[in-house]
Amino acid sequence: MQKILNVPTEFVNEMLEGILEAYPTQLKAVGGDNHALVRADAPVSGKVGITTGGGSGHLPLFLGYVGKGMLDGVAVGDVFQSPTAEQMLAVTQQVNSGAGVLYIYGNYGGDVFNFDFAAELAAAEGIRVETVLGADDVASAPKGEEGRRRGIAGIFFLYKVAGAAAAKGLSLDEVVAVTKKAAAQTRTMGLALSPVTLPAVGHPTFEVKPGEMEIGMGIHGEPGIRKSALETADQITEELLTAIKNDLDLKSGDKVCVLMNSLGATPPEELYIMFRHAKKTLKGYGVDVARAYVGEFATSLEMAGASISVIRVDDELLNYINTPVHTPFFTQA
Amino acid sequence: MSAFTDSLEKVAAALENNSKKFEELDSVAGDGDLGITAGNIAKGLRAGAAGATGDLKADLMLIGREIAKFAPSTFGTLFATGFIRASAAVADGDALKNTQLGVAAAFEGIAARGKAALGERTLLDALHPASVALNGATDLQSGLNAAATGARAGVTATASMAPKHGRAGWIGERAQGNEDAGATVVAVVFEALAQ
Repeated sequence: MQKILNVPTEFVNEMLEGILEAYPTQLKAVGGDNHALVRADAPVSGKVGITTGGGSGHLPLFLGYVGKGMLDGVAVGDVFQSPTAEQMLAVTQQVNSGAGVLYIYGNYGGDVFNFDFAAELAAAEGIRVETVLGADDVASAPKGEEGRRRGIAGIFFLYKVAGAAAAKGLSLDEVVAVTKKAAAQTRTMGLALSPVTLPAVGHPTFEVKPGEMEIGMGIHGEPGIRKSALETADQITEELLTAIKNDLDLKSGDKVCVLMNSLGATPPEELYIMFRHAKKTLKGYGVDVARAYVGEFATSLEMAGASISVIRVDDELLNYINTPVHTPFFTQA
Repeated sequence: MSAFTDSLEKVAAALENNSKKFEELDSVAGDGDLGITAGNIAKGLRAGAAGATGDLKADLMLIGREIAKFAPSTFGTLFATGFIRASAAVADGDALKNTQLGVAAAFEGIAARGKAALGERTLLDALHPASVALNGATDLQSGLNAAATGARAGVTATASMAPKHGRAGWIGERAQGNEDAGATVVAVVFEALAQ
């Protein structure tokens, strides 16, 4: 994979510089550290601060959703690496208006370790912090062991719900409750068609053979649940949705929102081919799609592949998902 | 300098003097950066000593914060966690009692944050025997002496343990036969305190 780079080790620093230059009215760095970013108008008076963080290499995750109606701040790590607890703490201090702070991030060991420490440091300063983990990847652990699951694209729905609830003025406890409700109703399944090359490494760090696909591969190349010859779009879509339906126990009459996500290299055309069949398949289950998102939401550098996220919604969750937002990477009127 | 800040300086100097040793041990199984981390922890200890006010709770918290800033690696964060948990545990008791409470709380806090148990070849395998030895002591000096001996015995025991955590956990058996680098840091700390 050819890359457009200067110095590979400066990949994240130079990316962050560019993003801050592109959106100077929407984002600002805390204390001169571009790895600690907040809304330009943070802290928003009286509002619960919604904070996230994680490694680089997943744009628009995580920093792309910092903005009106979604997140207040983000701690940005190196490629596929957790940011530090100090960076998370700096963000926490900056987004706290006195109403407390909610951490929403993916369930990965390094991130949990550092975010928990940041929460402890914040608590020592009198800032109340609560945490809801994204753990939507059905392929990463079996039913009954949901706590071990990794967080992937479905975290978008958690950001959307928490952001809207916080913007509406709900208390920290209320925002936590509705975000947990959203997390409990969210599932994702994905597949990968190609490996990725970390800029500082220079060669692919795992293998997906030409002509093959890997169902359930993680967004850092974690092993999936099945490798086989590449199937048709309809077959793939059906396999992913079947796993989600079984895990979420989708029933006729349920209402869902769907997120069809590219892992980086797969073009939107292919996502729409998948969505076409997803809609038909869900209709066959008697499940109504109340809202669809199709595009790049959580990527893994230039990995080819896609994921489907489904959230079962009631009126409350759908209302929050339908609320307008405006962030550098995502706008919903 | 107070006896407290004097101890911090002794530990900081010992960490720096042994950084090469930590680096060598860590290179066998880990990524070899523990020497750098130990040097950064020393910087955090000195920054904490410089800001110490004599209020033990506040001073331990400050040291934890400074270590977190200077040494943001996994090991540094675990070390910082130990001081922060110790800060919450100490009371108005005498130095021995506070050392016992602080080290016990550090052990519990590090085990919880690192999601590790005894026998998994981590710094806990040195910290636990140190804590047990301290709890059996009747005066501070003999307690620190016993803690240093206990921690060193714990380090020796790690040589036959299989790693479960960090990079060492992935390479499994290759780490065996060598003493754990993180546990060695803990022994060096207690040996410096016992001086």
